[in-house]
Amino acid sequence: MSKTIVRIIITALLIMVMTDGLYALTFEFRKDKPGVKDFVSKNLHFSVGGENIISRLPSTFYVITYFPDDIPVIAYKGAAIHPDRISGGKNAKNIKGPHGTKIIYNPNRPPEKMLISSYVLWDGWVFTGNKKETLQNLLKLYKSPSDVAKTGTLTPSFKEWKEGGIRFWGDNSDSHLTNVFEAQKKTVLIPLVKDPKKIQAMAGAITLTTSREIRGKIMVKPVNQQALKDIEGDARFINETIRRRLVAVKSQYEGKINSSGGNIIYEVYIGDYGAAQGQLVKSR
Amino acid sequence: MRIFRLRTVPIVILLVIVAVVLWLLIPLHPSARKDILHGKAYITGTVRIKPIFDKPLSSIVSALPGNSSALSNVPFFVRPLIPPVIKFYLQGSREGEGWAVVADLGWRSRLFRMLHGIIIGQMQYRGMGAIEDEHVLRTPSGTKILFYQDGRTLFVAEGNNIIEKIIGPSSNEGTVPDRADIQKAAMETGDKRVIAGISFSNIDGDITRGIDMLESKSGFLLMPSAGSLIKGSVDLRQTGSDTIAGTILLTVREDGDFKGLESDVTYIIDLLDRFLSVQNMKTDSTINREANNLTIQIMIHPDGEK
Repeated sequence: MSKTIVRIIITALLIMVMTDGLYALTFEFRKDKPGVKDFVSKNLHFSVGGENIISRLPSTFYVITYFPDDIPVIAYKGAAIHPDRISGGKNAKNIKGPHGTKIIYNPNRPPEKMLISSYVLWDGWVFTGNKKETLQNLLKLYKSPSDVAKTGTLTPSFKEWKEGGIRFWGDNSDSHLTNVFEAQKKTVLIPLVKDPKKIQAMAGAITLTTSREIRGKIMVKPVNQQALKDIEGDARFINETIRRRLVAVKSQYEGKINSSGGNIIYEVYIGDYGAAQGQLVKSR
Repeated sequence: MRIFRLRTVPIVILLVIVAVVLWLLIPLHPSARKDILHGKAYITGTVRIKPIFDKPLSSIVSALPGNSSALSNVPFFVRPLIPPVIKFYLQGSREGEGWAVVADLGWRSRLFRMLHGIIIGQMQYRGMGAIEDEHVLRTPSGTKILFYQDGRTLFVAEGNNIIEKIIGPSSNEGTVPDRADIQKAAMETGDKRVIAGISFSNIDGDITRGIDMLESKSGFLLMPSAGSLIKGSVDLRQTGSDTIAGTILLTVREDGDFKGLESDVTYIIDLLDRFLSVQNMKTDSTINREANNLTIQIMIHPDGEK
């Protein structure tokens, strides 16, 4: 029970904290904003030779989930971090990637998807992840590397969108969001979104503080008016689940759900997100 | 003459075997101890086992954590040996905490008596506890587990007080119902559509304490309004080939938090609905409030047959 609840909450929190139709769910992290550095160093783990490289990434970086692989890819502007360690040094191999790129990979790739073992350099950007095939497929979606930073069809006007330390966006072209939520059903007993096909696009932003407060807004565009009611029901369920968790761990929580312009907006405030995650670390 | 004898011997052996098998299948006398627990329990229930192995309940049970392969792992030849109906009792702090499962073994009673030593040996082998005497195991945490057959009734129980009630000298005196508040789970055992009937009493706050403990362990508020409950019951029955109907009746204290309870119940139904949606099942539910009672009707059926 505890494990299930914690998974629901972390999925909801990750969706809150972690796309012009680029068929991918993209999270943008800005470490120069308050509280983000601390949050990512504790909650994101991408290893190269046993070292978590998150602290070495530039102040703005992106984590992209792309199906069918369900393996996250990190994208950032700059130089590759530990390229020899990623590719296995002398054992490194390479294949031709899209846009004239060369994907360097470790042929003895470990199976763990959070271990980095492939990378590609493209016009001053680095894309790195576990499987070379994921990089190959993902790069095909973009015309230029900076397309990663282009937000989706849904561009919210709320102030968190401009100021947020963590932003995310994604759309359901090619059933991408559906796949993300359907995959969640395999790992948790209670799905957050009953029918993800009813989501057309979503975007959200949150601001963090050094005292581990979260304030954010998530906007969801349903496929039609009937779907709006169902997605509203999902939002109410997520709101109530997080509230019950946070009240139990004595953390302040406020959640509001509004509909405007055919979209659903979920507004959230958490007094101490660390309290909600307390048992996650234990149960994992 | 010799040929006659040669034919007679196997026939006699066969008759003896048939007689022994028939004798083995004759049920023992029912136990007078089986009713002693009812009046003292704060939760009591009756569950019919067969529907658990059949769809749609089997797919629901299999989806629960830790049960994904438990049902399918029961060999087909073992299934007839499982008692068709079990009763369970949970005893609260007032009586001394403990639980008991009671089953009428019927035609299995002599077989179980024969296999008693093997079963209790297996319980020890599988780490449930060390055999203390013929019927009792001592668990690593120090509590006793009883595995005891009286006539055709099998008792499995944990907790010193409840064990004493079952095997103690006064246990044959019959029922002394001092929990008049509890609604007896009077399941019509002849009605094959009935799956389970559960009743509980919160007069002494046992339900509230149990839920508080669960909530503090999981760090999650599941039913903070539990203290408002006096008693309740759950009735589950099969209404079609693949539809289950459930009725939950909750009685609230005069000064109870009715609104809070309604909100908790609505949330729990939403949890159930989402859990079942992964199994391609749907729920229809209605909540009615009348005087001090909250009645929840739930229909569970395959997706698309609403």
